[in-house]
Amino acid sequence: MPPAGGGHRSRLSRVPIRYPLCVICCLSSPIGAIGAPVPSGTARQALIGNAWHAPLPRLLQAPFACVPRLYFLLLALATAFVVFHFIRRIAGLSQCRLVGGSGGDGVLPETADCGGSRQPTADCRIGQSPLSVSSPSRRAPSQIHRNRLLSAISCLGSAACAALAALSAAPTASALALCSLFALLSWSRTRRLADWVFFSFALAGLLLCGLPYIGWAVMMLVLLPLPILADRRSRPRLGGLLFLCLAPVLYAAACWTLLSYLILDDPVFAWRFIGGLQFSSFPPTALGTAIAATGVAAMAGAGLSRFAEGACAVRNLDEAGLSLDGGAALSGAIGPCESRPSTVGSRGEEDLVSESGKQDKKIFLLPIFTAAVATAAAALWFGLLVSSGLDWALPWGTPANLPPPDCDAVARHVKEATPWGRIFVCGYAGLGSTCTNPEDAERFEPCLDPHIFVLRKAYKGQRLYLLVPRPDRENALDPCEWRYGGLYANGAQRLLFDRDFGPWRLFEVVGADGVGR
Amino acid sequence: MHCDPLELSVKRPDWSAKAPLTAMQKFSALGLLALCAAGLAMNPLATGRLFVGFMTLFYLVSIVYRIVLVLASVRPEATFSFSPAELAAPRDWPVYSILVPMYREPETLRQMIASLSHLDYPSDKLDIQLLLEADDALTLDAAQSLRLPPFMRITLVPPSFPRTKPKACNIGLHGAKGEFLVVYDAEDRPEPDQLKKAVLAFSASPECVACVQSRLNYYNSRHNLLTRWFAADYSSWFDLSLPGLAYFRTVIPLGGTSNHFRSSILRELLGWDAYNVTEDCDLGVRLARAGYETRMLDTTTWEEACSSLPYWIRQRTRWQKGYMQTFFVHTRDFPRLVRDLGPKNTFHFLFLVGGSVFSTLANPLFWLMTLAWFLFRPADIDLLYPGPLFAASAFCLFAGNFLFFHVSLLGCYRRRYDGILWANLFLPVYWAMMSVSGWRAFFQFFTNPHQWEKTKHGLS
Repeated sequence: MPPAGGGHRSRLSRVPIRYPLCVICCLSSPIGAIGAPVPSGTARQALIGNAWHAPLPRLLQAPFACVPRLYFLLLALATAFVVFHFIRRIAGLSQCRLVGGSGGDGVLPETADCGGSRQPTADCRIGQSPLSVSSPSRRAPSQIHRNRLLSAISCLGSAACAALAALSAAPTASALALCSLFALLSWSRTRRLADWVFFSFALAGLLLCGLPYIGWAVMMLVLLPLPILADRRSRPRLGGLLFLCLAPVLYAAACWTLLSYLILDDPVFAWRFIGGLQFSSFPPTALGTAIAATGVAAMAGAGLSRFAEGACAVRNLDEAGLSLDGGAALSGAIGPCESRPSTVGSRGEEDLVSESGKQDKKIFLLPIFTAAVATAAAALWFGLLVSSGLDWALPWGTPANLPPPDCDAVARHVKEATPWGRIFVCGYAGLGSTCTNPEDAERFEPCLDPHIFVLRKAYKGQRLYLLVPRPDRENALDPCEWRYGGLYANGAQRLLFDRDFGPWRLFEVVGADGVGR
Repeated sequence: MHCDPLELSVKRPDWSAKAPLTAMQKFSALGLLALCAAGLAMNPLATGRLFVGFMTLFYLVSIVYRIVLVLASVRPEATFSFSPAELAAPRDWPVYSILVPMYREPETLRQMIASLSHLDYPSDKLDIQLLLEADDALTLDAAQSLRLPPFMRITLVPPSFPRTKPKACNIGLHGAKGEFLVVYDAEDRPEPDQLKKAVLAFSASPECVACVQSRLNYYNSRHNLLTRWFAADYSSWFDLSLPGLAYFRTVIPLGGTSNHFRSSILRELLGWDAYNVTEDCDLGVRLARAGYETRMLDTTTWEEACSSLPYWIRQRTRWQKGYMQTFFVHTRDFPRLVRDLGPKNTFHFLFLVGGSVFSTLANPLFWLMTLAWFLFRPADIDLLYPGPLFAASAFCLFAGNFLFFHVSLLGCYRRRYDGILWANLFLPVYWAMMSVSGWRAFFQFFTNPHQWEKTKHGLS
């Protein structure tokens, strides 16, 4: 007879999941942004982003950035506490404990510590450390201490890795990537719908994390039928599973497109990077490409095999080290192709393997293969983008590292002409610009999407200037470039070249009578 | 013994929808309207922002609430389920009463008899009553011309006002012999082991469990787009919402059929409210207020989805009107409601019964605003959404709507309705139709509160 109120508890339902921790990871980066200014530019443009300045990390940061810095500690603690316990409660993760003990003594101090920091290293530290989960009830105190130590070392290693990755979206995106892999593996074993849902939502999130994660998500989708078709039970439901998985991804893409249209008047703004691909300039021989692909695939495969091994070893996937290793391997592989100290701080694999043997390993072969191929392809692509030696492949490809404009110099120059000049700093590169003189700071206005006629109308009677970045690499995707057809080089109607400030070029907006009014 | 089908409205008028609104409720509604009008006249921007802020908060809570319900619904403890071995174990099965109210639907008689004859339950322990209106000669003649099984009998319902299903059920309850009782519609096809599962569920639960609700779904889900939407709707409601409510041991707005009761408790509560057009929902609330619980049973009754849009609108109108009746009946004495249910269950009640109707009424306004904003970008709409409110509203728009869409997808997938997943892409049209019926219900609530718009069956 079943207990009152419930039937038989299936074996599958007892499998703990660690998605809440992935959610915490995704939120860790925003928590780190508490009190930090979010560069949002005029209106809500920066929140929409393009492939290089993806919307999701920024959208997650925005609410936290509104919080006064004074309260960051309290909010960081409260958020971590609420998120962890709420999700743990509703997901039934009663067995789930953070490293070293009950309910949160692992994550809370680190969250609080991280709250005031904007450094990506700290973001990553808090982003990855909650993954160090163990089941204390089954562990001796010595093991717990060892876990703590290993976790701390792992955090440092992960932080170093994140610093290497140097992508603003890294903590959120790597948490999502990890979540998607984890969910796919878990689904391969349990065929639980919840795993599939988490997998699809993680892919949708990755899509909104920009490059290179878009490539990874797309590759995963392309290869997805493989693990489905390989399973006899899932094969008849291929269509349904693909529909479920595609729905969030396509919806995310559609929302991004819609918001681009609503806010930037350009529905394909986010996707213009696709049009910028210049495959025709690939070298005549593919030998170099093939060598690079082989190397990257080997590296990705090696990293993922560690993940798989750990995943096989612990049937419930509730161990610490494998996640860190998997996350590190994944980030390392699809990040800027840097080798990463992925073994730092890992749990002893022999310890993991001894728990349940390797008989389940074959279950993970296809998902791992899928992920490895996707990773390799994305890594290859991204590797081509970021490698300075391969600039010929995609001339605009990599983050440009354009220095922000010297606002003080620009302000001085403008003040010589007029005491009331207003300067619109174009492009994403201009969002980080700061002016030391607070009075002059008011003159500068970030402007991702300049419409010269709209500006003239909105600021009637003022002298207006446009500060345009050199269209290097991703800056070539800025609306000011493509909307005005080579604004930096050729200028535009109603724009008068004024002066260069390093890689920045100042134009004055002029009226029909030749003056800026 | 004399049977009064309107007993509830006589003995407990405060629990009956005979009078849709009390004087105090009318006064309060007028006061609220006056307050809104005064606000709009004196400071329209602030009033508009206040309204938008309230609605945004409501939508945010709805989103979180739905997520929590779905997560709770998929937990195994949320439903009773039994193995074939448990069902096959020999035991002394109690007498089970089945009520089948029918009105002008002779075409469903044969199918109904076949479905009930296939029930896997000792026939000598079955007590099935066909509740036929005495002036419904068509159905009566058809029933009498058929050779009814010995465990099936006809009970006549004398013609009187209101002509509703709960009134017939009250008459059936009076003559029911079973320890347990269930109501089926004429076109229902319950799974054969449903009664046994219900008995086992009652046996396994404490006395306070007065009702177990079966899942409902449609056997004609692929008939047309409307039935596909309807099936998706039921799949998410009965599979991914109600079990969550059962998990939280809270108020459950019962589905129209296949709710199994302990007969004694049903009699104690004076049966159904004959004036309420969703008597099942009302009964679910009354059970909770009386301290009883409702649980979900892992078995399905297959119904016929309404495949005709005009009839569908009428059916939905009735349901939404019934929800309004239930909401206003139980909020007549709000402090007492809170005392009876407790704060947590009161929240569930307000959100499920009041909130669902309220959202169908309010949604069109926000859809229109969104559409206008997309197409014309009027500055006035921007003014209503200052920064944080805009962010929260945008979240509701983009994340919230997708959540409801995705829950519907999940419901279909779990039901193995892979072939109708695509129909969910057009769900916004279905939601719009619900709003149409919601507004129709709103006007009908004031003009004709007890009218029972009968659903036409046998169209598929």
